[in-house]
Amino acid sequence: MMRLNDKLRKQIDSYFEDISSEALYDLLTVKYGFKEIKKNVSGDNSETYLDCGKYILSNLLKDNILESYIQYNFNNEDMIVEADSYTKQKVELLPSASGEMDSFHPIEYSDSLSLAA
Amino acid sequence: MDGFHGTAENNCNSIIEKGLLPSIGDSEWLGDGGYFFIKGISKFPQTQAKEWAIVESWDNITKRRKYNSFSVLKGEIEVDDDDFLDLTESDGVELLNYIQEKCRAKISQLGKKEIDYCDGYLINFARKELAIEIKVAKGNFFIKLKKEDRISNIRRRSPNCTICAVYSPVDNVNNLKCVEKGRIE
Repeated sequence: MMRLNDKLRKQIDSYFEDISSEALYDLLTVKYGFKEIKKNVSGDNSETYLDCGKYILSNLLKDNILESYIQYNFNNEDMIVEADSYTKQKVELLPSASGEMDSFHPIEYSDSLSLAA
Repeated sequence: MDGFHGTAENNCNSIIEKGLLPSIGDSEWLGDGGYFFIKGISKFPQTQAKEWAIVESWDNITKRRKYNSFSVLKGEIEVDDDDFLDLTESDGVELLNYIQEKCRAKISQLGKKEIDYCDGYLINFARKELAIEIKVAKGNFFIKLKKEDRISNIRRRSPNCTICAVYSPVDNVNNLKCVEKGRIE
């Protein structure tokens, strides 16, 4: 079966030596459909939306705001986290006006979460 | 190796006559190609192909079935070792990892920009840009094969299927024949 032998390694290395970072980035995202990972501004361990949600929930749990959670649905269109089997509270995480989550900051945001009974 | 492909019964004759058309732009699995369930992590690839055909019959937008009867085709997949990327073995994984690391290192020079690497896109990229002749790719995946799996959106990590993507089914799949047909209840 196919393996990383010297010939293939040279073939691959040669390609990456010849292409610029910008051209590779455009090629991967435009022609091949790779998705860009959007980071939030905090630059901490919440690099993706999903991690961001987990991070918020873990802070809420740590601070005893929520005792537990059942599940979360976290995507661009529906920023709602179904939370807390104990108090039946629902936590709504609202995106910024632009619809982008880049402005999300989990620590600040955890202070301003709206907790509806 | 024997591969099993599940589809609508209406497609069966056309596939046998003209060959299986490859799926293009598949991001989830093994890139462009005709897809087959094979023996590996499951002993029952034919059953899995049937389950796939049935579960795929449902159109979640129109909330209706796209077809009401299925067929399972069996074909013999033949490929030279040098053209076979096996992601169930360390050699195959090492190769894909190497390509991914090369991409990541280059992209990291742009600063904050990062991209989400997935098998299918990497394989397409390797094939078309790096001129690596991947004629058949094989991997283990978790695939939602039952209606209940999809309704519950099961996201298991441990695989339940071994599948092959054949880049050019006309060249690498022989003796395609229908081995099962049935109504979808």
